[in-house]
Amino acid sequence: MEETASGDNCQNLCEKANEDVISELHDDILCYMLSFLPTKRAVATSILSTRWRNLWKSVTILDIYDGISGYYKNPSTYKERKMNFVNFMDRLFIHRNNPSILKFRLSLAQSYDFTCVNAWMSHLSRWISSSAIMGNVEELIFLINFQVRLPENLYCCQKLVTLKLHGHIRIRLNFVPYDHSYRKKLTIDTQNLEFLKLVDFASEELSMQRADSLLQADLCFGYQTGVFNVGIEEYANMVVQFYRQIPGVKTLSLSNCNIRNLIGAAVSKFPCFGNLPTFRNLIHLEVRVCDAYVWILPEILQCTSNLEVFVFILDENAYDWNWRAPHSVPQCLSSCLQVIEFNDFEGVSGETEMVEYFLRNALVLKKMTITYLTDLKTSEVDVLKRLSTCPKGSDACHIVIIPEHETTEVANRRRACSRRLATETY
Amino acid sequence: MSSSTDSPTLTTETTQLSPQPDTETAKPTKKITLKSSDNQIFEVEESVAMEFATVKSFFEDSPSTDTVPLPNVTAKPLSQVIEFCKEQIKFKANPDEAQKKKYNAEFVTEKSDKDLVDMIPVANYLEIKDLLDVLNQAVADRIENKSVEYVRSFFGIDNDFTAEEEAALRREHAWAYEGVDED
Repeated sequence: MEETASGDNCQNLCEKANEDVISELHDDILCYMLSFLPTKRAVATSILSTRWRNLWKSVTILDIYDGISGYYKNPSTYKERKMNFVNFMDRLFIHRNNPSILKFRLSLAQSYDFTCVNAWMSHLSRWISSSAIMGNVEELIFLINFQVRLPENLYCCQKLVTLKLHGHIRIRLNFVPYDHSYRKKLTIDTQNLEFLKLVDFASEELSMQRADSLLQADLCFGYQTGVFNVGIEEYANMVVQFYRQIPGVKTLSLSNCNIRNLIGAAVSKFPCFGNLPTFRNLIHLEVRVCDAYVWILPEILQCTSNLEVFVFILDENAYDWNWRAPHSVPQCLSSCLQVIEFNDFEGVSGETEMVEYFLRNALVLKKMTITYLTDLKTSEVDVLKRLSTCPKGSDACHIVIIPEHETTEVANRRRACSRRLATETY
Repeated sequence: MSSSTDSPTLTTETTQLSPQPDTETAKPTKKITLKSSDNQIFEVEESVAMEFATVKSFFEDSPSTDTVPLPNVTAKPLSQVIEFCKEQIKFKANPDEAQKKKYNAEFVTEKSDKDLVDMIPVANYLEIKDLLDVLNQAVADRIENKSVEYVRSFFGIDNDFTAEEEAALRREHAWAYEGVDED
């Protein structure tokens, strides 16, 4: 370090002072400094001097973008730059074989060979499995413009605060044992998303941003009594808000847990129940529901105005069949509903009453398909006889009753449904 | 190396920032004396000195001391760091994120490359995390799209690679050296 500054020649002073005060700093400080740079530039510091050669390998914030879109006009340069980037990505995972990472951001504007992207993702998955990442990573951001499947263990990152996804991304996030020490919040902010499958029993807070482009949604999330700290009314409100942000869906699948939240809201007369949206574009609705909740079906059908296909799947038969004919007939029954599928029919009387209600009130129904389990409680003939003699709203209606042969598959499907503790976003 | 002609000489700067009798405050606040490695004396309010984690723990260990020697810190960067911390104290009293952001941006914008670089070891030694972040971001912004040669000169780094070693590294990470601005 220089002595007391007394020189009056500024030029001399500056030259004299132009010592390398930075390289003397501890590795941690230099790596922290490099974390403010995009990874590309952090890597470039490896040739500043031997002191810097390996520092970038310990930087805990990775911000990678391919940044080669500017070279489209020159195909040979473009090809070379793309190859350089691929080489870099391939090596990145080898160079950092024992990584500790706080933030990882990957932004790919170009598309890459499927096998090479898959290899990156499986490397990433391995990184995440290492305790250093799983225990520490706070932020994961992916902006990817082609179809890619992200590692399944992302959700296992215990300190993950931010997960942002943009593009044609498919992830499957596995559930980790519930940790009471903090609330998980799921935010989906995907303006151009077209298909969403969400299975999530861990997030206490749901935040869905407006997604007018969403065409298909398969929703399975629900309140975990005795586990969640959030109030049930607050949660039900979030569920209704979630529905309100996807008004354009054409195909919607609701699980029993979603239905249970609606039931809770309806029974407790939460104001949010009155705020359910009308899905004007909804053509195909699939609902999984347990026998005690079937009375909610007309309420759900009230939320549609152009529904053509209604698929009902009995999710559990643990309780008593609880069907109540509604006071007013849902509008879709009298104007547009053409196909009803009734799965896992068991032949109990409440069930048959419900089928009769639909046959009587669906005025433009073309086909009613009933699949029954082999341990049908009433014989098939009796059921057919009863249904064929009941009053029908539509003369054109064709009733089909078929056995569900793969009963074990059905049973497995049911078990899987209630156990599938995962979040999927496409 | 980008020029630092806009920065005044050290002598002027330190004189300006040397302790002045505080005539405005009626009640005298406790002052703490800091001594730089080049033997400049800085008298700062206790609240400002406590922003320096290193100084704070020094006082916790030996409360009776009246002068804290800072053997790793020269006068000029220290005076700038004090300037920064004085402002941060004000923001602590009256939080205004927008104003704070504005001040921090202006603080680094008006500094020469060398000033910024010289403050980093000081902010690190005194453990002033906010300042370290501000400085790191400013440095990153200044070197982000620059050539290796520019960055060496920016930090005053001597290249101790042989030409062959450097060429080999360039080949290995070819992607990292693409798309830099003209120096």
